[in-house]
Amino acid sequence: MNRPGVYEVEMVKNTFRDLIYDPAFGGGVPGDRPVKAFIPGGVSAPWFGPDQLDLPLGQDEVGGQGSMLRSGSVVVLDDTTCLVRAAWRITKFFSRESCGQCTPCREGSGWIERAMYRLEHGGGRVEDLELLLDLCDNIAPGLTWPPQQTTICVLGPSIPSSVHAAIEMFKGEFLAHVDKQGCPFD
Amino acid sequence: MTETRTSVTVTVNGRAVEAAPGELLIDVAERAGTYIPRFCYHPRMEPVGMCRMCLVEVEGPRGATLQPACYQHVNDGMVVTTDSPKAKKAQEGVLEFLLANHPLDCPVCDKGGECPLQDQTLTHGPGETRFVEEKRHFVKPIEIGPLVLLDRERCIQCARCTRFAAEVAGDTEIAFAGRGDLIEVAPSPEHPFTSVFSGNTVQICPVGALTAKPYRFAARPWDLDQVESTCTQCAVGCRLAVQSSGDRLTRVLGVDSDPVNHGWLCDKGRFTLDAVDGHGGLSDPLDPRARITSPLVRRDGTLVEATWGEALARAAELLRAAGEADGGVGVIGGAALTNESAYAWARVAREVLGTEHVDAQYGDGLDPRRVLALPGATIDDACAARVVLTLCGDPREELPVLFLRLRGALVRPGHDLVELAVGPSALHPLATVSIPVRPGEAHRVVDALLDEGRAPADLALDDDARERARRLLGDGEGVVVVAGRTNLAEDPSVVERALTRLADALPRARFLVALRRGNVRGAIDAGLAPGLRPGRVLAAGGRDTRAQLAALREGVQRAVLVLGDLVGNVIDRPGAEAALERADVVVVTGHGGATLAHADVVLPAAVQHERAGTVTNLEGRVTAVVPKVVAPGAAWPDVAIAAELARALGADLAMDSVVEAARAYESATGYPALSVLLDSTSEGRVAGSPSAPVARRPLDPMAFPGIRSAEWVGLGESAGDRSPPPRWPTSPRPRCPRCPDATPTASR
Amino acid sequence: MSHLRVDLRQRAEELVALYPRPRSALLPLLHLVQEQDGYVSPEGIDEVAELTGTTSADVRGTASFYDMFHLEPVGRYVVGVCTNIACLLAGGEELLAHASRRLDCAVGSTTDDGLFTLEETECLADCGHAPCVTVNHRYVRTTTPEAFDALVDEVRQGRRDHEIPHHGTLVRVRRNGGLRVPDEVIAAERAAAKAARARRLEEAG
Repeated sequence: MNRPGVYEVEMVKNTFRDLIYDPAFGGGVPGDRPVKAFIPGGVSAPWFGPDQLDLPLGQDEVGGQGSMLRSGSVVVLDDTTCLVRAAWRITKFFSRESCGQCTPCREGSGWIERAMYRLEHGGGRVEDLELLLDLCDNIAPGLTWPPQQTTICVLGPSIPSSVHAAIEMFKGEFLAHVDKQGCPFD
Repeated sequence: MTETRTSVTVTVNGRAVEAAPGELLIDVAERAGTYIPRFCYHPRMEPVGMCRMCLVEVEGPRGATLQPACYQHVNDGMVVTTDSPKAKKAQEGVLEFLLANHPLDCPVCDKGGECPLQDQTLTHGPGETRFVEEKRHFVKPIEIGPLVLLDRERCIQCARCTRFAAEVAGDTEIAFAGRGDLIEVAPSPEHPFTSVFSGNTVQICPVGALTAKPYRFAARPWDLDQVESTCTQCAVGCRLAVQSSGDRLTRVLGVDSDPVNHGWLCDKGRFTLDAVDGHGGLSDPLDPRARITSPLVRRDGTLVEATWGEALARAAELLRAAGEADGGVGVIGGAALTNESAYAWARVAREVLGTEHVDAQYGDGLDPRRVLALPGATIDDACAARVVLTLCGDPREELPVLFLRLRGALVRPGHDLVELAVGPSALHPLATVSIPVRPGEAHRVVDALLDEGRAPADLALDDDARERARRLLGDGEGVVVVAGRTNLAEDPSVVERALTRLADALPRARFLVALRRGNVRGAIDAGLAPGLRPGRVLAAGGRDTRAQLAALREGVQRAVLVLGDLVGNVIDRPGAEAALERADVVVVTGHGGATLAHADVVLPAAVQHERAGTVTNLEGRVTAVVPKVVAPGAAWPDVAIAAELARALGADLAMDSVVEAARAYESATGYPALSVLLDSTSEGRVAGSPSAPVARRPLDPMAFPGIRSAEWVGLGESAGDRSPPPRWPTSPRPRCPRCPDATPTASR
Repeated sequence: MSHLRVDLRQRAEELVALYPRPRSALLPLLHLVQEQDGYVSPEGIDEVAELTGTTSADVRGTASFYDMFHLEPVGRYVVGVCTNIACLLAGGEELLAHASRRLDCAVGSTTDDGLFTLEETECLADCGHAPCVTVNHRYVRTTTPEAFDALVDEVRQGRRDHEIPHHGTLVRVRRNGGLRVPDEVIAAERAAAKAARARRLEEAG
């Protein structure tokens, strides 16, 4: 963002595009790079693509599209960003934040994090995509929205959000990591 | 009483099941024959829903959702599916997660063969791992206490051990440290895991993370054979499973007995197997750790091995000679025996030797004529009591599992503890009112507590505490007094007078008399007490241990038959040694000890885990003890020794077997014996109490209450079938439930 | 004999008295220990256990859960560099690698002189100034390698001591009661922000 920061906006009247490009708010992406994806409401939220930039900033509007506004922190990923790396880092966050009480969150977050790290740093396999989605499914059965959960608290279903979205939206990028046995952005 | 709803109907896999309102789904389903896999759930602890292994589908207003069955209380009309594809996938997913970081070192793991993780993987888990990452690593095993080792790699973070420490034992010496997938069970580095209940954490660990030093690499579970028996280390009478490999005792596990120990044991009860084999064969007869394996007779001042015939003849000769003078012979000890043995010795004393001088207590107890005449209470009564009044030593030290039971009750609302505090006690933090009592003053403090008016100033009683205690005690309704010897230096009459006063002033109170030695209650019931004949029939006179020792020192009594190690246990040791020095001494004992320095004849006896019979715990409950191994050398069971010694003295007890002895004991005293002996796995019976049928928890083959081994999955009772659950497996081993020729299951 | 200093011990007792159950004061008490010792020391753990009526294992377990408590001695200055998603996109990893080279210490360890401990942190809630850096939990808003180098020099020379007290010092647990901001202050701040926004919009046309 050209102008990262905290902004107070009126719900529903503004769109994500306003928030990102309005000079009073985000002021656009540095170098005018195109938006590849954005996280609408904190790292627990499933990602959106450029198609959803004109979505109004409202709980119901975002919820209807399969994500959420919740914390209100919007993170924009431009076309120089490796989505595998981004999703890995978010999973690492959840793995570190997991309290460790219940099994799917404690072990699932660690497993997904390690598999994503392997994909990003060489050693990825085509079957990892299916494996990752199945592990996600074992934490949030059905990968529905709003999510179901096998965990005690909602940190559980937050874990698959980014990985699931990244694989759904950018499968090709994952396969490129497998082909190159490393990150094509390096 | 107004009528409240006593049952609800729940549908489990399409089948209607009756349940009590608020019961846990996991228990309801299991009773109906549907076993839901689990790790963290333990029926004797609060559910936490942590491991997520028991996820099942429960219908709700927004459709079926996955809920942990261990955390779900049933309500009427609940519809549950435990075997839907969604539930199965969730369970298999959890199992796969648990195995991801598990080292899979089953071939070198003590738990291998009786491991719920292993078993449930076989029944509910995937066959192959998809986990290709590096597993989590920790230093393997670390000593967290003198008896327990921890392998953090194997741990599945179910929190059974930490919850036991915090919730049941109340001594949080281990707790989770860290966060996420790096959490580990940890004591404070400065304060090792020294709880007297540490062994329970090993027993309830569902994997091989916690292992007990004495059992490490000692045996494989499939090599073990086991019997159910009763612990005789103290008077609580915990039910236990004794396991051996061949003729070598390997392990003791707690059995979940509803009225007594709830599956828990103290470390003393669990880890004293060394005593049975004499710590690997120590042979010095003066060493209390050594076993006596041959009859010994003193010749020219030294004890030498003899045949049974020689030893019995010599013993009979000494006792007969002494018995010719009035009051010339007596019997001391016997609190560590079975009821049948105690009864046999009581008959030898009274019928053959013609003496009333018998005392099973070494002068460290209370007068049974006074305290056992008080209205009795069971452990359950004490736990259900509105108010518990304690006048005893620290129960955690003397009767550890009684402490666990009392603590479990007192931490719940509606239970108050009034403590007559004679010293530090683990129950003290739970006391509603604590009244300090100085040695020798218990009876005066009780008087001051119960009397109107001002308390004597020298007792320094707090008026407010006195008033609150008085209000709580009321007329004794709902009050159980736990009473025992508070101080060995104090005259026992202090406590006895205090108890008599309490019984007079609180007519509705009941008493749980905490005499602490192993089977002291049984010995008294069987007639090894001065002034009490078998069946606790009052008789004239009779010297107690102190009086006998005095009589021996004065030469009034010439001989004594000692059952056990008198010198090693008595308070006035020099006095006892001086007494034995002058007397003719016949000792019947399984172990060596200082008493043998004065013995003229030593008759070797079988000890616990080597003999059959019944024992009576402090509440009067009669349960069976069952032999697991053969006594070493020439040692005999006490019943046989008593019968043979009687024969050598020219009498026939007509008790040539334990069954005969039990029958004779039962008919002489009216206490249960034979029926208990013949059903050695029963919860036992309290004489005089209505014996309500107890819902029996199966002694799990793997001794993990609540977790059954894979081979029993599906073998649960069907709806109408109330036959006993399957027991410890005998060869051949049951087959894999997944194989086509597996035993057909009741639920499918 | 109390391990805590007299004033901290007194504060600890006040904190315990604030709650219906002594155990509730566990976390504030751990901060007091960390303030005195620079880390959560074994002696401090024992004292907190005594004050809260729990056990050392329980206190240690609780302390180990939180990243802000250190169970082993750390440097006088604990430097945290965030590499979570917003900071990652803004070069957090590169800044962390630079910090490690500049301080000559691996991430998660302490410099030889015992002055700095370098940590990789999760979100520090200052994403507007990514990559976010804190020293002893104070934002320093140092987003470039050059600024980081300058910060290290200043800290070494003691020129930042007025704003960065030594590790463990937290003001909050020392003050009675919570942080209270008067309503009128909040209203004034909101009005100022609104005016500033209007001004920016006007400037941008």
